[in-house]
Amino acid sequence: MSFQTWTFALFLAAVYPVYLLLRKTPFRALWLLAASYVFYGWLHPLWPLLLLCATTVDYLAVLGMDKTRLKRTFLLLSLANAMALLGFFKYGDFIVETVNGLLKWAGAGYILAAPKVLLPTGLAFYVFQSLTYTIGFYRGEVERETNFVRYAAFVAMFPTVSMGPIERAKNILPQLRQTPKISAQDLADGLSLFVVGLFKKLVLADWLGLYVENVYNTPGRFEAPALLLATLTFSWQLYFDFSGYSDMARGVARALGIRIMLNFNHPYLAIGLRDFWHRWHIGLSTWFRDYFYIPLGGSRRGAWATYRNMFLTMVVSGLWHEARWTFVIWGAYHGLGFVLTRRLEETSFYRERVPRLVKVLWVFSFVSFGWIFFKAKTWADAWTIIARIARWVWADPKFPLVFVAMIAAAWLYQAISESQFRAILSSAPVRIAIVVLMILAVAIFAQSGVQPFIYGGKF
Amino acid sequence: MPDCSKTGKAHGLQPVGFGSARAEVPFSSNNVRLSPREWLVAGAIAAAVFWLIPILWQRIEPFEPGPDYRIPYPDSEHSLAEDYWMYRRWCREACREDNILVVGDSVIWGHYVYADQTLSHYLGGLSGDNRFRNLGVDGIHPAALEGLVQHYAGDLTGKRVLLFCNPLWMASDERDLKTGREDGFQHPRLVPQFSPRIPCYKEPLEGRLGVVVQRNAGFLGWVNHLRLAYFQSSDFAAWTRDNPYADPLRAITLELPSPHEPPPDAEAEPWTAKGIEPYNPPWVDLETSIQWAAFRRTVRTLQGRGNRVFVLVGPFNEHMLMEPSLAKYRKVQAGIAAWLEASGIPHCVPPALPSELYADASHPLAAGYQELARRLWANESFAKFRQGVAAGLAPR
Repeated sequence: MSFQTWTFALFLAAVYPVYLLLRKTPFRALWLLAASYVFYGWLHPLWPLLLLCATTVDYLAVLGMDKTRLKRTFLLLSLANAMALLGFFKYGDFIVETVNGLLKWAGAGYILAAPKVLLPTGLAFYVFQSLTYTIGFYRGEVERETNFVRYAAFVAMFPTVSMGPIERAKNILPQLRQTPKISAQDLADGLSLFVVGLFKKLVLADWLGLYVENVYNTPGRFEAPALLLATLTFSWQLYFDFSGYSDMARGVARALGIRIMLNFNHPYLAIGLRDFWHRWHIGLSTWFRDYFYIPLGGSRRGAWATYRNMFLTMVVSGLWHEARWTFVIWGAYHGLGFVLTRRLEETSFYRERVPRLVKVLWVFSFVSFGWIFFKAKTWADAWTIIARIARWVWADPKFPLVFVAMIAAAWLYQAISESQFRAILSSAPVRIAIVVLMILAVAIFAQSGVQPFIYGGKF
Repeated sequence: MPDCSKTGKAHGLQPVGFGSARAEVPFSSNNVRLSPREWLVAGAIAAAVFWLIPILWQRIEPFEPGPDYRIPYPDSEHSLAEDYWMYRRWCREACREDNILVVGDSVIWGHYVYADQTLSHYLGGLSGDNRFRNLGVDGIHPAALEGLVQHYAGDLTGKRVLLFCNPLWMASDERDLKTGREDGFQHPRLVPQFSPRIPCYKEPLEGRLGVVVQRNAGFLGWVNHLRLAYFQSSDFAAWTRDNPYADPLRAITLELPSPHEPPPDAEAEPWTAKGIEPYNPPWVDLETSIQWAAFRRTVRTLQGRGNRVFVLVGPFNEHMLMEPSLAKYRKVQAGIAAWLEASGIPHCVPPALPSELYADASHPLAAGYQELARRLWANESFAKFRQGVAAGLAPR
């Protein structure tokens, strides 16, 4: 079930009162675990088995690390299990299709049968989340969790199991060990986060998505203006969709007395690519930084090694998003961008002489171009879109003018909230008015039906 | 109260203090953070707005229904047949005076005729004071009519109600909503969403919950009204995509569609002239009929609200029935009459109209409504009903 559904409201209405009653008892984690498995199983009744498998292997791996001297062996076991789960469920079809492509190119007379397995929602999220425990323990950053139920609740907790943020064991497990203090302000904060997320998803993302889907479903029918506008609009749709989910997840977690990380921080105000990845999908970018980039050597082994590590990290990150070559290209595109701009962003010229607006616009343009590979269904579609934009044949894009106002308003709001004028937005009447308008808008747009989250179907 | 001006500075790129039980994580990247008291204020304002807007709207949107008004049928521009908010408004208006409310399906609505050719119109003519109001809904059936009366016709209280019973809905398992496969039927948002169970209604839980919420939230019904009346039944977002340069506010013209015309595809000709053949519907057992059970509940609901109910049964176009089916139909008809009799509900079961006065299995043509009105007027039980005569009551 998704957060923006009545079914979830019913689920929460059933789960939350009992959670409050049990929060000071040892049964709190058990109730959270049970609710999380019901939540996850609602999507598909067999998927909780997979979740249990990932959880159990990692739990036992850390137990093995703690009780034996085979730390490395058990870490490798955990990593192998993670790779096996992802390799089969997420990358199985991709690997087979790629091999078949090579076989066909080589003139072989046979092909491999594709597994055609349904990708369990959230697999890539909770596998990575669980790895923060095994890797964290290996590095000495995390204590072993002696209570399996509590650990399982960390991996499966329903606010984050479907689409993150990818939390860290060292952040969540201590919170689960202690009795949560849930104050009235926590409930208010949870509600604030949830309403903002709901507004972003139901009103902004789904609305913008109508135009984007129309164009990207059949890009060959459209000319440059529509394709360009759809691409730029998709940048915002994706942001509102994913950050909206994250906000709702954080809001629900807050009401449970659990603080989870900020996942999006006005990414389209970034002044450089490095800044962008500090603001976009922070849970994933920091995961790759800590568990892939740094173990590869990070920036400690000279410029070329640094460039190689950055590039590889982005390529693998692209593949993490979805098992398609367009995502590999997307990752490589960002990797190349990192490599080419790293030095530039460190120069005093860039830092002090280039106007902020110029930086923001170039980063936004760069990122938006990359989203073409993210959104296009195939490489051929991506190429069609790029070629048609470059060719620039005019045709009426039929772009809803109200979108211009919406996006401009969102961007302006974010800019003001990071500026010296943020106090305007902080006044109580403004905040209350914004919330009331959001609630009204959600009520109006709730009629439109439930659209799935963009990220939800990929992981 | 957290100092939200400082949350701007807390847009930290990295969370602080990992490892502690209550790590200090930035609240959010935006300033929309309310204290509990502020939430109460926001909630109260939102609730007031939700309550007020539909009420104020009724003062803004002109609505002057004449005696022959009926909920407009869907055409290419408008579709108010599922505008239950509008139905509630019309019902309230119709109930203001001492009118007799005629409630039923497309037969009462007048599927093949103009608004001034319906049963309620001719009854009004016979009464001389135009006190009959057409509260029919095109496409409705007893299971949906129950929901309409329960949720959107609350003003039907202490009134005289002429309730139409169309035996057509008991003609087959499909009509009776009994088939196990998912058969589409009209007005699904009015049928019971959870209990009693309707076998062919396969809406997932999410949809059913949404229907229940909308029934109880007048604001959502008003939004639906705007969508149906002014945005070609599109949701607002889809409308802006399809009309990218149009001003959505200008689309709200405040001009409601006319109820006068019948549906564009309704051919006002006798059924025989349209090439419709006699047929042999199986007819369901009344004891297990879903539609009949819903109709009985509707009668009880209306009576429970202090309404005086008169039931008009059919007349079904018996000329279309082949012999085995005709016998079963008579049994159904007798069963309906028996229950009404046993329940002490005044009723009339007129004989079938002449064949040439029917447009199909149950809908009369204009002349058919005129004839039906005449027969009903002559019915003694109906005369007492419209005169307000009941035990202990003086004639009106």
